Amino acid sequence: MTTDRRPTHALVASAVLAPLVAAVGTGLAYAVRDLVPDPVAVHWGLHGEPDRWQPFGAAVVTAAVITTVMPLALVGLATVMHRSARGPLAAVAGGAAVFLGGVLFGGLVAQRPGQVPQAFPPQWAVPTLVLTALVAVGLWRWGRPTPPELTGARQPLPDEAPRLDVTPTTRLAWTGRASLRVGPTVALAVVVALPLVWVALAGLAWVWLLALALGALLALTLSARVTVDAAGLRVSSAGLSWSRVPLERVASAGTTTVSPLREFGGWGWRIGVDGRRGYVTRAGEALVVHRIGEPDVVVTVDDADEAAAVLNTLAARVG
Amino acid sequence: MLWQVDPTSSTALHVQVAACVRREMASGRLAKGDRLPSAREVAGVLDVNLHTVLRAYQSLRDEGLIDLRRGRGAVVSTSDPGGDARLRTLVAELVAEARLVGATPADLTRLIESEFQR
Repeated sequence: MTTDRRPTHALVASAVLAPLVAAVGTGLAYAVRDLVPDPVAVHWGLHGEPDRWQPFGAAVVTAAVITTVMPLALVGLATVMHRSARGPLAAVAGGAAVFLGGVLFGGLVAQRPGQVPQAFPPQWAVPTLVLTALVAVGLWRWGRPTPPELTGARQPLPDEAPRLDVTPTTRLAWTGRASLRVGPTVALAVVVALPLVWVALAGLAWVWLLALALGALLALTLSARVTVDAAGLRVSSAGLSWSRVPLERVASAGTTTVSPLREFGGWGWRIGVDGRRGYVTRAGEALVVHRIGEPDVVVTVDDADEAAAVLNTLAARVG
Repeated sequence: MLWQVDPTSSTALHVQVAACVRREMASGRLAKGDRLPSAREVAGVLDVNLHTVLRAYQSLRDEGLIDLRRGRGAVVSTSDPGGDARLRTLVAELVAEARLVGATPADLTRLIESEFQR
């Protein structure tokens, strides 16, 4: 089996993109140097009024350094994580490079003497957001390894894989849920979002909208529906599909014990330190699906042994 | 929870679907207040008609085991499915097994009676 190099290529691309964006931004800033006031505004208060200025050269260097260093830190993180995390992190790093470049240099080069400088000049905000999304999605797709071809007859399921003793004509399915505990999650979210709430209280309407949108997103992803049926395993929240494993790609299923913080660095949909994909909501019993040629998928559900038995029984029928 | 139906069995599909819920309740895996998957979801995973599942849920409601509320779906309404529900489940499985091995209702009745006399 050859290793798919595309995740690595995508990561390298994002590492190149960050200094490139910084260089283009710097070039652009110096091209309009005579039009831009000196010193320039580099920081804005709650109501959009500038409250800190820097000499032009220092402001450009600051913008270039931030645009380069933050994405590269993410790339550095990817090099110490499992290799299957490279694609997703390339997308985050590349998107961050474009976003930071657009926001920092855009807010700089759009300033004109005599005009009130804006933190997010509209003519920069929209293209920046669109380009950020395009680059992130592009890198994510590029860095997504193609699962290996399924060739010939599959290996039979191991004998120790739990199965159900039912007639071959019996239709089997299993439904369950993996849910984060509502209390602690909401408490944590409120603490994390406190600055947002504080800014919102200062009277910025769009921040309320942002807070509401984030709250709704959290509410939707607090729990996932776990289904095992003739289509395989599906983990999804409100139509958003976290994982799908068709029966043909199931090597076997079983149970395991997980520790969210130690093995996955947190809760929710995660890439584990060993490359496993997981929807982990608590410590303890979990369903683990060994895939053919891809990392395992882990979901924290109760009665995981039953789910595993249903999945194995169905997978054995595909043969 | 585990769902299983055998379309080749002569037990009606909706009876088999209801038996899945009763079994979970009898084993204590479903407790009062637990929400069942929507009828649409169950129909999807078992590849049966939506009306089959709705009929199963309605019969469970008529037995007082679940509440069906618009917008809230099916919610388990009793913590004790009672001996009746458990017996129904066991009998449904017994009859299915009897059909499989070719035992007639009379054979089964005889076996049950002899078990009572022990």
